[in-house]
Amino acid sequence: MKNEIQKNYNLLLILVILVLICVPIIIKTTTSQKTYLAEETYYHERMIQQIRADGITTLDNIQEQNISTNIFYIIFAYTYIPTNILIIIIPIIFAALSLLIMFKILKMLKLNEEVAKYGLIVLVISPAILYVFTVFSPKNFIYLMFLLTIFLAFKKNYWGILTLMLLSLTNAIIGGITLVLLILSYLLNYTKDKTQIYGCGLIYVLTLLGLFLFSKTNLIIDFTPTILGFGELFSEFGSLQGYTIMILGLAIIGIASWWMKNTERTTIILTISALFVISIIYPTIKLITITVFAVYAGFAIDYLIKREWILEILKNITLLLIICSLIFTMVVFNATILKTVSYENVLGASQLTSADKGDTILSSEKNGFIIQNLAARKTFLDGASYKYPGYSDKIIILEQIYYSKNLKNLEEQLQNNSIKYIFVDSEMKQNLWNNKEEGLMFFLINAKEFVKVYENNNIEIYRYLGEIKSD
Amino acid sequence: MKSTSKIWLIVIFLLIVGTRIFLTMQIPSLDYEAYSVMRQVENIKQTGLPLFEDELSYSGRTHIFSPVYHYFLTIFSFIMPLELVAKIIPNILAALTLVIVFFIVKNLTEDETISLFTAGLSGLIPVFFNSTINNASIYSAVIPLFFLTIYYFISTLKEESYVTKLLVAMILLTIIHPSSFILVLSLLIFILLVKIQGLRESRRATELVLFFLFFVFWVNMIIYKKAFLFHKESIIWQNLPILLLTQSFAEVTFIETILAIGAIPLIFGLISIYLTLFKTKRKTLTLLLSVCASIFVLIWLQYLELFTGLVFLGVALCIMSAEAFKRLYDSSKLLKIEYASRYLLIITIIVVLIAFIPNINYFLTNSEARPLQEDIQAFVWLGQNSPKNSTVLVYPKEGGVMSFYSGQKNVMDDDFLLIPNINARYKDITYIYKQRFLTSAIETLNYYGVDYIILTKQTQEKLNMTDLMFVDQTCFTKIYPQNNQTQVPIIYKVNCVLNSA
Repeated sequence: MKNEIQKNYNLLLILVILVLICVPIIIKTTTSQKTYLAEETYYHERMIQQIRADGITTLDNIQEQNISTNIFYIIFAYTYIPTNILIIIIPIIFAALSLLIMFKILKMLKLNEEVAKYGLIVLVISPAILYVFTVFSPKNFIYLMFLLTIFLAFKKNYWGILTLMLLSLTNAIIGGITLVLLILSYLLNYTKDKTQIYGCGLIYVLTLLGLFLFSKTNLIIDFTPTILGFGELFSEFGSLQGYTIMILGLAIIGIASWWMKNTERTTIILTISALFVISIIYPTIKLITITVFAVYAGFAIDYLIKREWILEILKNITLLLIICSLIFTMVVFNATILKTVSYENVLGASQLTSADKGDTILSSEKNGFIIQNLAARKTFLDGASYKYPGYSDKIIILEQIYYSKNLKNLEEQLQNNSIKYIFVDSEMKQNLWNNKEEGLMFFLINAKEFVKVYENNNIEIYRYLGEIKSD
Repeated sequence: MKSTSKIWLIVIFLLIVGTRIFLTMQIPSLDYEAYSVMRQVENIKQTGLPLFEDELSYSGRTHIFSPVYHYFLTIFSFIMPLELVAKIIPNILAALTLVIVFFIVKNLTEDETISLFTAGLSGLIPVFFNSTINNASIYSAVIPLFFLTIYYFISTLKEESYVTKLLVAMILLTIIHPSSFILVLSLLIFILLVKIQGLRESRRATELVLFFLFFVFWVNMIIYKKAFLFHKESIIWQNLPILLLTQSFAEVTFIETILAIGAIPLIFGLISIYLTLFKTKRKTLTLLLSVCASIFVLIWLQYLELFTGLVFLGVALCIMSAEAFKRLYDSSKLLKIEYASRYLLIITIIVVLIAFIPNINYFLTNSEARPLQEDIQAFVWLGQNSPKNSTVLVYPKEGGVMSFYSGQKNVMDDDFLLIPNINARYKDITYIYKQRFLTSAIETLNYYGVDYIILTKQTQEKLNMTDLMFVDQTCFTKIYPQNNQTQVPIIYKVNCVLNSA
């Protein structure tokens, strides 16, 4: 009877969590001004549409650069379900499956029921995971495959080898890290099947070999380190997929408070630290690290609740502060993600369809994917530019354009980079020019070489009238 | 507490406050930083609200700060003129530090003579004295509050009844200024050191640290969320221009650092650190050592502005020095010379006072820290003789005082938070004064929409120049001084716009 109640309670918890996850999706789909949740969704949609139109390809037709052949796009391209439906349902389905598997893994680790629940709640509140659970992207697939591989390995089920292969095909780095974690769990006696570990090792090597032979771009993009700075590492600094300092703090308390053997503790601490450091250059690894942090944060919350406090008043205030911070994190995430793509930006981007094919459009990195998708035009930068060589040079050019004091130099830069259109939104005006007529903004408004071709509340599009150099 | 000690403490407090106020009254103006505080206080007095949206600073920007201190100063502005408030109240607050030092040292040494001596010593720490005497600095309130929190923390370790007072102090410190992060770091190092030194762990201390950690983080996230998002990791340096950041560390020598803290607190403080690490195992000393360690690390990593860090470090070392001084004082009692300990005390006091005299001289003659009267007159004149909402270019540190007296917009002042592209702006503004070419200068002036450019006497002396090299009679009209004098502040009206539009 007690078990039944407990089971129902757990199910209810997962349902409540799912409802919480769905909040931004529901808000976005029920408003009249329909846009997708994050700008990267526009990129993934374009990739799926491109495969549907031209078959599997390694070239981005718009940006004219090599892209990786992602298994995620291939699967959904050939389902022929309309992309706008996929974008809504896939994150929810993958989130439900991931949560269920995560809960099963925590149970298999024989963790205290309370710790598992707290861990799961913290996990869902972590912005990076919340992002995976709400935004349509290959990360949905990566996270599910990662959890599934670990789960199947614990279950001694050989399907785990196949899931590791799929994971490695989607992201070779995450596949490698998962393999290392499996080896560590074998060494620490969490799993006992040697054959499976050998199988996983073999399949990983074969997958890498396959990628090397048939799609080098995948390997290059997966293994090229990207240093995005600490700003992109923590959600407090505005990253939608970053660590949360509060959860990090809780995880440290959790590790310190959880009793375990010295060797085990040292191995776990070293592994987590290594993962944290690697995640600075391979951001997708954050998904794994945050999952581990969330579990330890669960330990910390359990410890803080069960600990006998000498100053009882502090216990309640501290727990209240933690709860408030976690809720605050979730609310901030929802508010931020709902604002990432505004309807005006989408409307503005669709105006650029009339631009010539060879023209490049200058806007913020955030707007890149939206313009590429809706106007089918090339942008100077987008959210994936950092993965490609020449990114730092482009940033220098961008600074020179944005803060130009001299029209002649500005024109030279625009001509050299084939920039014909400049797409300015209110966020750019605020962050780049503090809402003043400075630099590029001054010339856009005052110089006769520029003409405003579109304007709405949020967006201004300018056309450069000078001749641009063709490649 | 003995009644004689009480009287002595009041006397020392009054002497320090009196000296501070007497000295600050000798200077007709305030230090540069004070004017932005004054503008906030003035606005609160007039409208009841702080100036979060400032039309004058950077020709329009958003300020982000906790206005508690400014509201506190505003209360006094109803009973005395604003300039007097800025000169008197911060000095009283800063001098209160010595009272707190007295109680911490008393707790540490249980010797009221040593406590009185250390309290007096803390009132004469050069860097603390100079940083809080004439600039209405928020650190006048933060430093006493910081050490009050430490005092209550030490007391709470011994007695639970201090918890409420500690919580009040912690909350006040957190909502006034982000310096509460220094305390959090200190307390974390303290927990670590207690463990390393093998001292008995205090559950109460752990609980307080846990609470404070989450509280400070939460409050600062709410107050400074916008700045966190805007500057990302560079928020740690408060968006300080790189040129200014490197200058502030490069221009200070090792000797100057020692002199800033004072030789006696430094020497005795270092001896106490040695004793804490290797001889005595006492939690109070370990806590003070943690404060020193955290500040040292923050200064070393350049996360804390050098002189701000030295203020905290100076007071912490001064308190720690009491332990070493008490040992010397007690040993001197064993000497065969009658009243040896008293002689020691008197000699040390004389040495401290003699060592402090050059600091008074430095304060009175350091004209670089404050605007000259001629410059202020020029600002006032410009305010009366130029159209409203004009943009005026002055050297960055003079931006606040110019806007205060003239009511005109500046291009840059010393509050850098939430300003985009700050390094380029700082470089542009500091370089334009040395610019030789007219076109480049006009380009920069047009870029920032400058209507007037002022070359103050202070800037002339700093850059060793008497006039701007790029000016010509077509593009610039000299409007001040009107009688063609040299070596006084010069104001030019900018007439030209480059033909790019």
